[in-house]
Amino acid sequence: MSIIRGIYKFDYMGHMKWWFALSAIIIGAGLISLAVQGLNYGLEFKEGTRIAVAFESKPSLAEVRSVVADKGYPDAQIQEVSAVGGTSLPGFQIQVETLTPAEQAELKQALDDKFTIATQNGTPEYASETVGPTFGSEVVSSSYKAALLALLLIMAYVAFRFQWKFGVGAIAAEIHDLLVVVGVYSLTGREVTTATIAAVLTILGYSLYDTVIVFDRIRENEGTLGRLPYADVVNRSIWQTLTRSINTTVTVLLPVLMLLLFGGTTLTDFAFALLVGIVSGAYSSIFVASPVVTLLKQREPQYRRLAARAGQS
Amino acid sequence: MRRYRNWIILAVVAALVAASVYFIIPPDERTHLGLDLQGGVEVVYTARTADGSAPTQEQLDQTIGIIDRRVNGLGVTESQVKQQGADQISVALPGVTDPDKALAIIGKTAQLEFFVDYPESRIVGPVATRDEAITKAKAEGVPKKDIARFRAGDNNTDDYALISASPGAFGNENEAWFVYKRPPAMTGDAIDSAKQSFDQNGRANVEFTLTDSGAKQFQEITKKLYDEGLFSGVSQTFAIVLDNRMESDPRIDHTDPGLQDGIGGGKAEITGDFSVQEAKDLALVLNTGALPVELEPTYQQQVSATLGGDSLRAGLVAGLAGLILVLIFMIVVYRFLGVVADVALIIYAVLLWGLYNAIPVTLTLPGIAGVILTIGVAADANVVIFERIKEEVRRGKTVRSAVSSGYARGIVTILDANILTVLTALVLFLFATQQIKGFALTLMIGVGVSMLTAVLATRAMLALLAQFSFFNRPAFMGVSSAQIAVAEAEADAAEAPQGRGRSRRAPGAAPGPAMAPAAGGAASAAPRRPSTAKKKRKKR
Repeated sequence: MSIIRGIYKFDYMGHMKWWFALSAIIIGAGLISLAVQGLNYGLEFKEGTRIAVAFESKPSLAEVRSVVADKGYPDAQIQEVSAVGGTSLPGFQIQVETLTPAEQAELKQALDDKFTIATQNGTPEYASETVGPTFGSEVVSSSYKAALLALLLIMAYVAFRFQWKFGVGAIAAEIHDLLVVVGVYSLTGREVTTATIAAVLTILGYSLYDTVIVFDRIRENEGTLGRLPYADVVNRSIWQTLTRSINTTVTVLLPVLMLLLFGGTTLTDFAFALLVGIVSGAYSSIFVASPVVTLLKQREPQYRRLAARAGQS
Repeated sequence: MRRYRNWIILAVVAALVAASVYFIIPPDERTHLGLDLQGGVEVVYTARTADGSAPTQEQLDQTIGIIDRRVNGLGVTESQVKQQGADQISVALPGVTDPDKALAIIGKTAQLEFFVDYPESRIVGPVATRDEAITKAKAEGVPKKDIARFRAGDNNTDDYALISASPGAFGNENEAWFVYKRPPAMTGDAIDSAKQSFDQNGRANVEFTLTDSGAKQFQEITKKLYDEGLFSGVSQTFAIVLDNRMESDPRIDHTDPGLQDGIGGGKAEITGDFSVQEAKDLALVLNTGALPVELEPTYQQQVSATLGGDSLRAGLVAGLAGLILVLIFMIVVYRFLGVVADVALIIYAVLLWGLYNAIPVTLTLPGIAGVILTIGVAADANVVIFERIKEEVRRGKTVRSAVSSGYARGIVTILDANILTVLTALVLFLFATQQIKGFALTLMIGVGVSMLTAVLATRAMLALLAQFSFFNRPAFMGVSSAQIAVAEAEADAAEAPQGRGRSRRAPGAAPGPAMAPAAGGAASAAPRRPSTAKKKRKKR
């Protein structure tokens, strides 16, 4: 019990440097990975046609490639997948240049003739997506706009409800989360789709939940623990809200975990982004947002005096 | 009034649940599934005029009208053709069984045909549905192979045409279907050009000119129609059909002697009860139904029905599993409060489903993800409040007052957090692509409904339950008496070293008791039961 107490009542703010170092390492790794291998952008961001299909006759990758090449697309990227779409059938993902509907139908026919597209209840196991050149870049730009706007709104709202220094802390946490998610995606090479963007934007809003809980308590305690150095105020606020933070994180992680495990390949990407983001969000409320706020508030004259009195640097 | 407030809230909730159940049963019919769950095809076209520039709004509207006509002819229910952005048109065909053929039909050039309405030409019709038309055609002796192709979704065979008419095409109120025998009396290439104009009475009409060969044909046809009219005493009609859709059914007035040689001269007009817009539309149709713009497919998505069905199943399984886990978690951590929260969560799920079916909201895969996320958010609201309640109970408050202050303070935090979530969802909704919009919408609706169930409903339930004495045991809340003792001891110990200062009983030692300024004011929020209760009463 006392060990848990010890962990609970840990001097979080006193070890700021550790947290910043840890964050720096994670984000640094992510940035290096970004520079080296970049992000695996999904189809919506670049033009082309992607086909997901399952075949009856179980051909090899080489066979599928030769049929596709014969049709005039030797540069197609073809992958074997263990589960096509939301099903549990193994099949292939074929990515080619942008095809018109007519060309697509031809390719589909050729594949069907050679390998017989698997059917279930009479409908073929086939899905395709085509993105023209303009569409992809539109998606990218609108995503950036959305992200920027969201960040601004968040900062404004937090500054309005709390003080502007809290706003800075919140934004620091948000940017931290963004970098972590992007870094993880680059490191793991997972595909970035519009669903990823949606997940990331959602995380921006949601991880604030956790941060707001802590900020709320800090604001309360500011008033009542007025004689304590700011770091202590923040520490105590964290102790008081730790259970709450953990529990809220768990209640959201549980459904997301289920999505990750059972949601089928389409939702798995989405769930993965949410998972990383939520964990990062929980971490950043305590280990990023709070330290930043502490650093900023400590400079205020009243808190400097208190800190000096208590013998802190 | 306040006494009844909680009952009223619960009554409203119960009524909403009943309404939701109405909208949910039966689930197969009531739930609107998106393309990625139902299967089907969606295409987004970018429209450009012949010289490559962006089209005018009028041209875009005309094009949408033409595509809409073609799509309706496919008989796909819940199909949607709408404008997207400034120069794009999105066509969604959920549940279509042969997406390639559907797209081919939409994309091809128009087919304009003229059929006379004699019985030997118009074999069947007007009837109310496509199926009825096919059945009657069979009864009239149309060969099996043609019937088979009609049933398979074709509207045209070599010898017959299955044609639909929108309301108003021939003075009809509802949609009607016909079967005509091929070949048509005349085809679109007989028309030279058409335009909307005004007749001598100032009403809108359609004037069109014919090509040389077309003029001859037209004269013959109209003469025959005139004679037939004279003979039978009823003016005969001929159908103008575009892409198997009857647009108009003008008649040749047999009482007009000027028409006795048919309509010659290569010029004619169609008059009727046209609005200017309707006349314009018909003129457009006659202009070989040509699209005023070129359509370039910019984005296309095809999902087979089973892929869609499997995705749906996967999403539902995940959702259900997530819900159950959360339910269990709440009970384990919050005991009885958890039970109350769980009841609220289940109500939440029911209300949400009912709301989606009522609006209706088209459910897509990201939408399901949004719902699953909001389950966590709804539970979160309860966590925040209950933690607060537990704190208050640990500090020695009666359960009833703890509940009250727990909600009072908790709501502030929850509102802050939820508003932020909704703000980001709003940004998503405004900027993102179609699919993600669905996610943002479900997120926003979910957060909203969760405020109702997780906060209002649970508060009402708890307030009512608090009237029972058995309820007022801290153990119910998951707070053990040991914790209360520890809290009290620490509060006393904290007195000494802190010395002066307002926060005499400043705890901040254990992750339990906290100063709750809203509840007891700054200084003496004593952990003693009686004085606390007194304070609470005063505040009221």
